[in-house]
Amino acid sequence: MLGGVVWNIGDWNRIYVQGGGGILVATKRRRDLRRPFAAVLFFLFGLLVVPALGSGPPPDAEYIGAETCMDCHDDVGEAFWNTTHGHLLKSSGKYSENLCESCHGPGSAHVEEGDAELILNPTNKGERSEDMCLSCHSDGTFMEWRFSSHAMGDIGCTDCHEAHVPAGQILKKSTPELCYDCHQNVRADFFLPSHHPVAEGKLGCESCHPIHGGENQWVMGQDKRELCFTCHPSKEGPFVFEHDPVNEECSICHQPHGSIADNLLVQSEPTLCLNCHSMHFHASIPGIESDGFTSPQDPSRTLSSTHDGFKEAMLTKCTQCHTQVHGSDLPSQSISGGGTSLTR
Amino acid sequence: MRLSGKTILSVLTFLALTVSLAGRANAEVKMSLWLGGNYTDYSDYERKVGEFTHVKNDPYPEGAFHLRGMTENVYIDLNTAFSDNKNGKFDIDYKFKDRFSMKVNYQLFERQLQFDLLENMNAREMLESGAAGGKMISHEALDSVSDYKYDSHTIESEFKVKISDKYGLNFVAAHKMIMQKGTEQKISTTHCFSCHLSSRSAEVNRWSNQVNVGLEANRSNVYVDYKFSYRTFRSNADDVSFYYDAARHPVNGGSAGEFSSRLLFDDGYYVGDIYPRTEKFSNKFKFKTGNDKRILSGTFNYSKTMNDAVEDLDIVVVGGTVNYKMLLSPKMWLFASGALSKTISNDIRYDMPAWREGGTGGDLDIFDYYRASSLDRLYGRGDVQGIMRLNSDTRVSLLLGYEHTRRYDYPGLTSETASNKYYGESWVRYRNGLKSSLYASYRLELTDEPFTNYRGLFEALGRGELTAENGAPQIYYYQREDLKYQNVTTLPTIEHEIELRGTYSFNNRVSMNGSLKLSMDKNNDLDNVEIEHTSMRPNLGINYMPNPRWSFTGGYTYVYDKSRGPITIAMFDG
Repeated sequence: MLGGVVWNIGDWNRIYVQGGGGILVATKRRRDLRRPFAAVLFFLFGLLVVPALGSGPPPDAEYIGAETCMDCHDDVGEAFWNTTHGHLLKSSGKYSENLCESCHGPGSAHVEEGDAELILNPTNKGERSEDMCLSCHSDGTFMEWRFSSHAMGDIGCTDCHEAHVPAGQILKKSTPELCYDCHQNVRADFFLPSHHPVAEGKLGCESCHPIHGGENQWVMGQDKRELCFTCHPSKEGPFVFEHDPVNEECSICHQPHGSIADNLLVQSEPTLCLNCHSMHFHASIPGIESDGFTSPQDPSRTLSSTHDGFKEAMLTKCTQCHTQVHGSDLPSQSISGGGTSLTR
Repeated sequence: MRLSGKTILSVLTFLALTVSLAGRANAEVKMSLWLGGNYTDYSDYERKVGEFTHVKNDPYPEGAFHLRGMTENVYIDLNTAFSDNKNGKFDIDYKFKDRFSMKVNYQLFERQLQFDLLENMNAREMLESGAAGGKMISHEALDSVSDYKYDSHTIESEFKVKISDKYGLNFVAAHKMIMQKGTEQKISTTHCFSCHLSSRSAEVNRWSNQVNVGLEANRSNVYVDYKFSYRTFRSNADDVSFYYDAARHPVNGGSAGEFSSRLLFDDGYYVGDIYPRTEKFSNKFKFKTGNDKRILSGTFNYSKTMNDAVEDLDIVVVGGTVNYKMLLSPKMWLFASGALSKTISNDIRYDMPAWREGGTGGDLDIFDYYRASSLDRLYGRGDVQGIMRLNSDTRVSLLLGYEHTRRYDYPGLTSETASNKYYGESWVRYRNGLKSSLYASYRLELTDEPFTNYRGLFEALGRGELTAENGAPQIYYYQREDLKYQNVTTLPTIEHEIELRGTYSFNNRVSMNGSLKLSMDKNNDLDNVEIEHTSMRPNLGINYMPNPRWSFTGGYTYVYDKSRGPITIAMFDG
């Protein structure tokens, strides 16, 4: 990164210069570069919200109206009315009457006692606070939230989301950094030599994972491969000459997050292939080290052996000859082999 | 930097929209513009480390523009960025009340392919004297191009229109196109006379299009969804042909006719290394119903995938799933799941030419066969899982399941040899906030009659049992072929998997993670052989992230794999 300028056009007085230098050794997230002020705002917002932790209003509490809330929380309110939640509260008949208290519950006890414990706050983990979110976010996507791995792990909506911020900034961090906070081993995987381009920002965790639960169990037993074929349709077939593991599950041979082996393989070739194909003829033949010998089919051709010999040539990568490892419509050469060798 | 006319037009359109928004009361409009530069340089291993990075070795300008506008009824989010002519994106998100929404995303990146795939493929056997001799393997690059890479363009769009508030009915239409263009290495293998590989540089011009159309409805805790999908895959690049050497004896170059008569083709140009042409229709119906204590959901699916290059070759899948989730207590969950499906893939009659046609004892027309698909099956699965949260940091789980796979009309198998798998898994997860985490699991799988490919798998010793048939000693060859493919499988009858995984954060910048995966499997139910695999993979890694823009990751993984099975020496050499 050499440097650059961020110009927040909506706020004309905020022009600043970022600088730096050096060799890029890891992919940078450019979205983050443009949002330093958002981070500051999140922090200041957090300072406002954290002291308001509470267990909720008592049953006899009454609604007091948004104007009363604004007497103390005007700093939140001014910005909030221009957020997605703010617009929805004002425009929706269902919520326009109670506004702030639509989510935070009746506030009379909170106002009278001045006790932060007496108002619902989404930062409180617990069934009641999630009810607030799920009362609106109740479509098919969120219906199974309570049974998601995140929910069972005591991860609540506000662990990842902010409610009082403009649309598009509802995540506390951009992904995948937000996910990496907990899934650090996955972050390490994405920096292995072969990986899906998540670190490069071309894919996100949500490209494959149903963050809010449910969808994994909607995938049929025989359709596990469908997720992969969405982007890699050339591997689906049907092929005249099949490779059996391709018909079962991609993860038999591939590790989706990252791998030290090429092409996201769970092991390097030929070890991976030898798990099933326990031998290959010629492989046990000793080879030679030589700087040159003549090919029998073309005496004028000069070849050089750059490796230890025949054994190494045959025990490096099976896919150098068996190029169509996912399947092929063209037969290989041998009649007695039935053309099944997946070499063309 | 080159921006297309469409891109510029789109930006101007949304700028105009934004200006119009800005004039409205209660409108919120924010824009930001990033102008900067970047520089990448790799001194080594760029194809590995920089698989998805366009290496420039020169400073390059970069820029990003973000616009967000919102009124009570309209929401617009435009996000576009480029860092070079191979990396860019363009996202638009538009909503009008809750009546209409539209998302359009464009993503461009470059994928570096590997170095010359065949650079090591020059070698020759060693004679007893130690000199070079016998069979050899050679590689010939027919094109000088070695800079293999392609650009990947992805355009996704989704449109959703609300039809009925009462039933929460939405019409959804979506499209996804992936276009990949560039250059790749194509390879052919001439098997006889010596192993001779040749490679060419070939155009990458792959297109995938998928269209989804459907309806979704949500009312009174009942959610239903129907989706029709149509997907095609095409390669518009010209086919690449290779010359396949005339078959001859692999050492002395003689007996051309004899060796040629054992092959489907030789001594000519043939198309190789092609992509399939496929299309797929699918219909999927989903439903969910329940409340915050229990959910019943299910799917029904029918799909047909066709190979457009081969007549009557398709895959039909019909089936469904049912899931039941129940909250037993605030800290206990029960999951029950079942699936049943049938997959039908056509058999293909493959008429092979006579083996050693015209040769002594030849003209054996015995290699014709039906290609049976391993996709063909009736599949059933059922499992039950219980999860309990011991405290806010710790969860434990126990899963028990059964899986049944029956392959109809699969050669060598009968209904009695269908595979039955019984499996169980238990895990414990511990997480202390973002400070540390630990995961430990154990899985056991017991399988009777694991899948066996009807064409066999192994080579096995057997030459001593051969007798000349049909009066021709050459028949030894296919007899050996027949013997070496045994009706056995490497799939295990019992498998243990143990996994340990942990992370620890020293502070918000430095963390480390470690894992150990251990698996042991065995199949000792086979008649002649015993298969055993052992795998152990400890891993230790450390991450240092001084700020969100920089990340340093180091790690060490040790891989230990041990396989025990039948291995024979090369059949050509007896």
